[in-house]
Amino acid sequence: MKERMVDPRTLDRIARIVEKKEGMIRLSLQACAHCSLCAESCFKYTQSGDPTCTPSYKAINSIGTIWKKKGVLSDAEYERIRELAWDKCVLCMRCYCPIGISVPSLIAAARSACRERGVQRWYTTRRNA
Amino acid sequence: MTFRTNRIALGTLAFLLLFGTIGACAESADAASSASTAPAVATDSTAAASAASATTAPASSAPVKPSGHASKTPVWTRVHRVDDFVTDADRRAGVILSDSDAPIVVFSHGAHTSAGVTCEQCHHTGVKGWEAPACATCHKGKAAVEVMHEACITCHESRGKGPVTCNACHTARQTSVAGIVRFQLFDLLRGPLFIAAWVIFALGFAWRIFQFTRMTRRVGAAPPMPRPVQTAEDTSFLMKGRSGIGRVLFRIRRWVKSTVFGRNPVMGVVSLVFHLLLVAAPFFLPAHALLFRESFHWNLPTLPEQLVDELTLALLAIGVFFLVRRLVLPRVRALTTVRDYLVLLLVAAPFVTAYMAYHQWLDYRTVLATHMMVGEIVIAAIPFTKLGHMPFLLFSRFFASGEYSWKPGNRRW
Repeated sequence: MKERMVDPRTLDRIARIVEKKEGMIRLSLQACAHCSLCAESCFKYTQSGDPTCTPSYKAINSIGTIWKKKGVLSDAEYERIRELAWDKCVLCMRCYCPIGISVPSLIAAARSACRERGVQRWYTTRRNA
Repeated sequence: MTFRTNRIALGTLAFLLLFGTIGACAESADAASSASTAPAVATDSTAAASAASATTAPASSAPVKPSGHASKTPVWTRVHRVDDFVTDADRRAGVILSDSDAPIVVFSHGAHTSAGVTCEQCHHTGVKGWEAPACATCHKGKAAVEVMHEACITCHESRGKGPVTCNACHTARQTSVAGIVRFQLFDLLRGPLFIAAWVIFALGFAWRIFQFTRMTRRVGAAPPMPRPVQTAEDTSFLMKGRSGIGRVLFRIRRWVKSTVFGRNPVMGVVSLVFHLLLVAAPFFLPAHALLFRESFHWNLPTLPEQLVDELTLALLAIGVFFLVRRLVLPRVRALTTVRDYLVLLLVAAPFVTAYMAYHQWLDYRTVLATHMMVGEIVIAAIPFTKLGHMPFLLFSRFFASGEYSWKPGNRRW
């Protein structure tokens, strides 16, 4: 995939979004024990059995990646995050975390960051075609 | 600062004060014990050995159980503090080897009771409950040395079992490198490093609380979550044909189904038991209570040693279950990093070494020193590793607002 030039202002905006939620993202990702107990509370997981639908997996590999790389990700990586944050999550907010991590907040933050890069869900078939 | 912030800060302060006090007590107790005894190393070895006897003795409870006190937890005391038997005159006369190279006698209650020696055979004045006077209580100075030599060697000879030559009992030389590692290390692990571990834990915990407080702000108490409207017809339909108790059970079952125990009963119960055991096994172990009593003169509640031993085994079995789960289940594998295996190993290490020490596998002292070391590492590591889910949980499930938060749930990221 050919890389697009990224406007530095876009990166700034992504950085601001991540910064706003930085405490929650960092502490949540540090605390996550990777127990996968959230999997059973996600209908996307229970219905598909796809391990990448586990809520913690979606959070770690979306906002976690954006946070670690400070928003500087390739288009392919953003595409993967789009898939996790939109196709594999409907933000129904029913995911249960025994430790109390708010997975929906994390995924919502990932969506905000993605939108700044122009990555989001497209309801027209034009883009997918 | 809001009222809530003040309460968190106060709680943290109280927590630190508690541990500060414990630390200070431990230091003064240590200072007192080393001041009253000339060769400090000998004292520590006796402490370690009494810990050894405490961990091992009741395993074979049949021969040592005094009549009428079967249910009482034994209260072990030191029986062989070398200094009790050594007077300055003895030292001057060279009867006893000098402090610097006096080899220490390592006595194990466990080895003796499992060989079928009864309490009264040594404690000939009688055993009351689990209390019995030590040799040095009556036999003072050189007399004690003679009495102990006489009693030990005579019995060993008549049984044809146990050491009879000098260096077979007086084995532990503190001047050798191994001796220093074993005894000086014990000294460090029992004293300053133990306190350091708890101080690091407390400071780390406080730092985490500070982070949470700084990164969240107080909002109004969370409004009750809107619940789906349950009409009278709904309930009567569900409750039809059920007796009073049946209705209660039905409600409980329906509630359980909505919790983690309903979603994933095996993992829910297993992890709950695991976390309870993590706390219960070390805190209610009689051997730990003994050490605690020696340092702080407080008696802690204990569970029978045999039971704690079985609980440790159960805990390790659950650890293996977690490991297998991590290796096998795709959804767990997708999340797993090297750190997850390391943290599992870190948590299991104190319990593995505890089990090995209790059953005297390999060299007892080395195993025990390792046990103390890894235990202290785990305590200190809790706020800084994946084990940090402990302080995180306290905060996020009580203070942060969310669907699954308990009271007060009035802070927001």
